Amino acid sequence: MSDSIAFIQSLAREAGALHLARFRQVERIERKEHATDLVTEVDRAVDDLIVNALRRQFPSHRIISEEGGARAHDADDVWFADPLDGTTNYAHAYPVFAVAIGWQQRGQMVLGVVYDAIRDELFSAERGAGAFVNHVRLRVAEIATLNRALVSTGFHYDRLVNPENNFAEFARVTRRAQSVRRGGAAALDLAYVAAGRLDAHWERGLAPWDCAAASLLVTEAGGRITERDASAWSPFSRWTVATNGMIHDELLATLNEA
Amino acid sequence: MSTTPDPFITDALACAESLAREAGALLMRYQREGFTIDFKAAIDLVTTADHASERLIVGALGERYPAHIIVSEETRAVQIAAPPDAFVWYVDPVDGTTSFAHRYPFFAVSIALYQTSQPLLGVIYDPSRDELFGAQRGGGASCNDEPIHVSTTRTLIESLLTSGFPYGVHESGDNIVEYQQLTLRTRGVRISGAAALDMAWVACGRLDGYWEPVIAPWDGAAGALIVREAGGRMTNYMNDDWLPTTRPVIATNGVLHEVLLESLSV
Repeated sequence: MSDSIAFIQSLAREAGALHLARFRQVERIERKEHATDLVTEVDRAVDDLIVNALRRQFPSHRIISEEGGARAHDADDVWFADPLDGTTNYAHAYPVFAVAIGWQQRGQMVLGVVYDAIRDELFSAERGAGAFVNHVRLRVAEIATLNRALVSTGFHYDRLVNPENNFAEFARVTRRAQSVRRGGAAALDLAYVAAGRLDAHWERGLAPWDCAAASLLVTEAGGRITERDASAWSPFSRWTVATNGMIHDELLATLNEA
Repeated sequence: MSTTPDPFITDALACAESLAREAGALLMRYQREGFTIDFKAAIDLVTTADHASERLIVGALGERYPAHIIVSEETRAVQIAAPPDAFVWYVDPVDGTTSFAHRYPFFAVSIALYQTSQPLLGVIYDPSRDELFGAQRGGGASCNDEPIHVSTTRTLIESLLTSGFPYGVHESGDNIVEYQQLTLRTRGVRISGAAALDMAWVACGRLDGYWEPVIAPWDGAAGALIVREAGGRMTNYMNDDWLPTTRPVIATNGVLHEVLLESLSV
């Protein structure tokens, strides 16, 4: 397994280098709405890079990636890959985005890597071996109450047409937490929960490739991740609630208040 | 734009830039080595790093410009009997203190110089990305010495915005409805917790607009000049130019200003 993590870490760094090269171009485009083609290009190029590398290294494994879509995931070994988490940010040259790669074995996440090329931060975790950022051990924050907590969220692209838009939940948490953040890159939000920079992140409608890798960072750093009704979480869950553990029940109760 | 730069202002800008960098380095040291937190109110906090950064900046400015007035977040010293044409420095030793306290890497140092309510220079330094934003009146705006410009996004639905909430939001719920409405009408609304950084990022086109119902003089003093010198606009909700005495703020690339004003005046 340690060979695998080194392999995935260097793959994530390669992906990050592609992010940065194109990002400098996006930065120079004045009309950000014209950046779409560049973003599609980098998305595809990084997806190809990761999928090809995984296929060569693990020919029998299943791969679920953003570009490839969510195919059947009933295999023993499944990889989740998000070539560019935070696409909207990237298109606007807002420097908050990452690549995420995670490995699930027989239904359990066993390896997760999230790389933020802008800040050169490589978050990685192996099941049972802890979570790290650039070799520094990660530990969730010890904040025991929501009114001392820094919490982040996100709103799914379907928010205009789906009444389950997370607005009522946002309003309740904003009136209860110390402060709320909205970063726009879910894998990084979850990595920041693991790093103790955020005390929680909740969101509806995350894709499995957005959150699979980062979920292992959270649990290996001592945090907790569940569905909104406190049931067991999987990368295919509708709601993701990840916390430092200590404020988990209070956040769930706040989300679920009528 | 073609006026010869005033040597006094050029010199003061260099001084502000080097103080912002020094204070930024100090903040990064506190991030690594630790700090303690005090609460001014339920969700309004201050750290030992705020005090140290303020001592550094205010101390140096006071020594170099003893006749100037310095308005700073933690001391809030204001000389009531100041002459109307006095030079006034606005200093935010840590913009985004809550983020800083949680080690969420969105915070900055903000320093501006005003005379008769007009900005002469402004500096915003983001130590965790090593980005120094600066502007001198009539001289354009820059990031790490490269000229910057606002975006040219023309419609809300193509825009990326940012916003913030006042410390009284638990009781008032202020800005929650506006936040939800604009989340529906744009590509997204970020919340970084660092007002000065939000303005700097509007100035360099990473964001198309920013609004917040209540900010302090030191939060917006440098950002107002940097946004305008980068080609954008910064006003209150009534479309009057933002001044350090103005609490609400809207900063945009200019093109989106009217439509954002309309969305917020309902």
